[in-house]
Amino acid sequence: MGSSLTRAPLAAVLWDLDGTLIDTSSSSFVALLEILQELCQKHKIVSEITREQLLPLIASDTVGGDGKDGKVADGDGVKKKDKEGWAAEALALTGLDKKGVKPKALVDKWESAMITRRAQIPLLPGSIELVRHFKKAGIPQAIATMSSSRSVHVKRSNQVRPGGRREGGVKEVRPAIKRAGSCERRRPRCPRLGARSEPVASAHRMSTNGEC
Amino acid sequence: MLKSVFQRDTLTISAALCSHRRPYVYGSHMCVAKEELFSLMDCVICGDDKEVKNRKPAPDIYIIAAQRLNVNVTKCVVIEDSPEGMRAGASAGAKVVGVPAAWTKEKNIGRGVKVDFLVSSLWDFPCTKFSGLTALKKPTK
Repeated sequence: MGSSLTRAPLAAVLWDLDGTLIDTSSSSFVALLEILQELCQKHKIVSEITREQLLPLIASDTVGGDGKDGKVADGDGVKKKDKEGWAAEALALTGLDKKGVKPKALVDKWESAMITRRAQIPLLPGSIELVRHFKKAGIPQAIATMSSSRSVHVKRSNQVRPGGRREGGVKEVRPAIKRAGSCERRRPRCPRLGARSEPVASAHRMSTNGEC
Repeated sequence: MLKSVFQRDTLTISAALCSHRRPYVYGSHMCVAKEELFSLMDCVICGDDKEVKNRKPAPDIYIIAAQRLNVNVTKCVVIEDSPEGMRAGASAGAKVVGVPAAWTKEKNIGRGVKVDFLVSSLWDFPCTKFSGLTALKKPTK
């Protein structure tokens, strides 16, 4: 493998985006973990779910395709799943399906969580350095991704998150004038990891960087 | 917490945040690097492009990318993390460098997926195997 390629000509480099240049799977993994934690707390479920069980569910193309056409790679090739297929699998793994939680509810929560996270997706180690290296050598480069152009735009730009914070810690300027009745205190967000003392899923013990 | 500790006394203490995190990973540096990364690309082709009729593992997107760069796709290198992307690159006739993600076990890539090089990180990209390229120097820690 590779021996026939010695000093092969290189006309251009064609990059995949999600999982190759940017670390999409970590963000989607953490998002899914937090949602499952919240649901497990709500339904008082103790679930033994592992990182290895969850990771295949959030394959980069699931995120890259905006959840419209989730694809998960398995040993025999590409197993195409419907939009809610991976969600049904995640619910079955945690036992949330027996509590009446629907896959669509999980998909909706996950998609909205990913919208807020897209602008925070980090680069993968070595990606910017290698891109610069090719540029310096005068080699044309292109990104060829199955993500929608809208999704790519969000991933590329430093979008303001719904919470009002922009990347880099700069706060969004909010309008000073509010309509009457709009000043009630905002409801708190989802509980943070380990916020409750009651038994929770073992997944809660996983740290937010995706390690157990 | 640090702030409250320092404010307790009247002494003026300078504080600095020291982290082993690389600047391109998180924070404002990451934003700049992401902007730079996209600015260095000659073109970006997305899944909703009108010319992209079939999703990966169909070769459409890579053939179109090569066409837009006015190069022969067989002289291109596709860098991919997923088996379906690697299949797409191989079907297009390009050389394929696989950088498997955490969820893609290497043993799965060997099954029916043609990969010319398999590396664990982009730092290990086989630059010296291609003409006109020197090795990428990894910064020492």
